[in-house]
Amino acid sequence: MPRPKINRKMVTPPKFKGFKPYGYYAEEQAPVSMLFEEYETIRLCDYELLSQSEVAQFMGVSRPTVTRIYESARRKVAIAFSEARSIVIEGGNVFFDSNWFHCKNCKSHFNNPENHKKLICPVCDSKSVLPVNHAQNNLTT
Amino acid sequence: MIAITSTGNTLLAGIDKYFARCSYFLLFNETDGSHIFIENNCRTAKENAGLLAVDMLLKKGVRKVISGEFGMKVKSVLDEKKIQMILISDINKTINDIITLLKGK
Repeated sequence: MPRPKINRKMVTPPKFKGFKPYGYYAEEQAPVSMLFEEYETIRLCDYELLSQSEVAQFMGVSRPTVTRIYESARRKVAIAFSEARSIVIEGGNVFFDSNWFHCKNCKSHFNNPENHKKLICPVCDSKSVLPVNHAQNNLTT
Repeated sequence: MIAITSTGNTLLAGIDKYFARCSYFLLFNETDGSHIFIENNCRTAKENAGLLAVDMLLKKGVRKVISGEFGMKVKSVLDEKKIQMILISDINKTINDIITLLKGK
């Protein structure tokens, strides 16, 4: 049995569930499934412009692991681009650095540093608030 | 006290996508509903702009910050200081929209 994977830390949940191509060749095809940690490495390496060793520190894994995750992420993006397939972000071994919540009313994300038991949205006071980490429990490896 | 990152110093300005590099902070007082704009002097800092901005806001008594996005370093600091972070994904909203939401409680 292989050694279990270490959970990777994520800073923010992605603001979307996936991407879809459009245009003449963009027909319905099986989507490319990208893991949460792969999305996060692309974001940290290429958007926040961190070096891979810094990314490794943030995600709590070793530098070579980041390289592997990043490579796999890039290949998935390449497959999606060249075969005109959509990308779905799902699964992976991740946990979030703080407890994030999503307000269904005003669509904002927020955390709960003071651990209030009764959760209401700090912006619009709506009670329809969902924990983002909840989705994580349904993730498969 | 809530800090909102703003692109300008009027109520019609939009929410700034970035926390530390925003042009202005709007400080909204929850108890009496008043607000003031303060210029963000930390935006020109070469590095650690976020940490400088957090220090500045802490001195003003801010407990919640609303922004489009927070940097990596800022997040851990804000977590440590137990300041609530609120991310607004719809950056087309103006400061006025947010204040109306906040006042509508």
